[in-house]
Amino acid sequence: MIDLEHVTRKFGPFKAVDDLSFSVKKGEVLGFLGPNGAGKTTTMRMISGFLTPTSGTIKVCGIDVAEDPVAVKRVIGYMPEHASSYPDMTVLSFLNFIAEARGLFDSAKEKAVESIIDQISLHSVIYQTIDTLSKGYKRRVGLAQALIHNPEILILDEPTEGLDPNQKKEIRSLIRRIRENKAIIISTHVLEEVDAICTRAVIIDKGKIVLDGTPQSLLTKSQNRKALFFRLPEYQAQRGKAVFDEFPGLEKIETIETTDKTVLYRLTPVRQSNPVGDLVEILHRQNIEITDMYVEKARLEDVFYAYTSSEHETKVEQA
Amino acid sequence: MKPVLILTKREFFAYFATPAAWIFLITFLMLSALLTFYAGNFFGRNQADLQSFFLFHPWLYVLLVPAVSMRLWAEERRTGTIEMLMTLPFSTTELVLGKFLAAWLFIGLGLALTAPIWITVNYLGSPDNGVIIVSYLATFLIAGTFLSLGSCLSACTKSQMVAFVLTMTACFVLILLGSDTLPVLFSDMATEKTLKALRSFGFLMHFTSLTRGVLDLRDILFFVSFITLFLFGTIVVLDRKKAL
Repeated sequence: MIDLEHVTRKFGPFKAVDDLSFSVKKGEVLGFLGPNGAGKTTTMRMISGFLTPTSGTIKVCGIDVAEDPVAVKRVIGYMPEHASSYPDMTVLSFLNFIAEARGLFDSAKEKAVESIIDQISLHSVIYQTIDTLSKGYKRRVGLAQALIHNPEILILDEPTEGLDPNQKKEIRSLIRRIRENKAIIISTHVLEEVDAICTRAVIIDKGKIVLDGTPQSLLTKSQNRKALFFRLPEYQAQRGKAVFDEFPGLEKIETIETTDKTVLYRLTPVRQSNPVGDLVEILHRQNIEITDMYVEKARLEDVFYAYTSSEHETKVEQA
Repeated sequence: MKPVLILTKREFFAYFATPAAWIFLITFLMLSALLTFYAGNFFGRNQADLQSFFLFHPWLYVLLVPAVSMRLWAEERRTGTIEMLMTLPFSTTELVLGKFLAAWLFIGLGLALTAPIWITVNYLGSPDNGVIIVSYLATFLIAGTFLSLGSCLSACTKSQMVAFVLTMTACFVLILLGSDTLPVLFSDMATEKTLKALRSFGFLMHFTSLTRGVLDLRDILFFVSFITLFLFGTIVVLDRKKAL
């Protein structure tokens, strides 16, 4: 439903998006990832018609954005990165305006506004002006604005940025509820979000796609280098350290913290290995007590790093 | 037409969400009254007309219209609301028209609030109300022309201040062209013919001929074509910015 073909966008001499091609089908939720300045927002702005591409074509539901931008805007719900809504308007009058702009009037308008207020739980703030709202509510109003006409295409630029964990959870479950029969693009910085709501993940860097795959493949990749933390009792730390030193699959061993009772080690395994089981078994065999053990959570930065750090790795990898 | 009206409605009421609208209206009414009665010597002239009232309007607009027009696009750009606005299913033409009409209506409201002075002059004497109606039309048209120019300049920049200063200067020059001052300044450099051509672009000439009660279609066309030109300019600027 969304098709980009060889889309390039320059700002002066700078190429923000460089010969980008991909498409999103109905029912797909595309997680759009990349470091800051990778070209995510620019791409989303081009699809929604706010910016025009320097070259290439973008089609939404078969309509060329360059040829009939208004028709494209009609089928899209777009939430900008900063979700800017008119600060002097109350939430209710703002939503009424958006509904009218979307061609909803009278009872249809009332119904749409009411249902979106329900869905996004905006009841408590509808008579408040938008500039008095908290950041979380401002983003919710931005989301409400994008969803009010139940669009086939949804483009959300970092919808959960700046929200607290509960609000993030709410927004994610909302997106999960509505994702059927829609094509959705979500840009995000949070890896778990990709896992929670997306059916597909695309990483771009310097305006080019560096990975296009499932969220699972992304997570697997990110776990290649996950660090392991072992906390051992002080009196056994010496022996434990020796075990780590002898273990072949570790690239780096660091002592993070020494208290009077325990020592915390951070172990970096070599790429493509998961030595947790082996390590635990060896320690257990040598009667070394493990006070605490955890695996560092996969971080998106590490995934970015893995894919975007070396130039020759930038070929598209179909996972 | 409906999309334009939706936009106009929102924009018009948005003026009243802040005290700025009331300050503008009060300033406009106070200044126009002051100028009429003191500078224009309304009573001293002892004539039942509103010449002294309309005389100062173009100069008043040089100061006040940029204050209305500066925010049209510059503010949307600065606060980022333009991204939301321009991804709603409106064409650029509809957006430009909607915003312009709202601003024009707002100034029209200011003019409507000067009605007491019209009533007063009718109470004191028997003025030619036809002339007054044409004069109101003239002043409304010149305000619209300045507004459309302001809209175009506001679309060029993120800064309301820049938009304000540019619009004020541009309006000032356009008025000056038709006054006696500018041609005198350039009399050494330009020929009589160029001066005459320059003067025909001066807003004052067309304005004063209307306020004398001469309903000449050419004068009206003059303002309408300027409004169209500047609004078209706004559309071009906005579309161009999408590709920059």
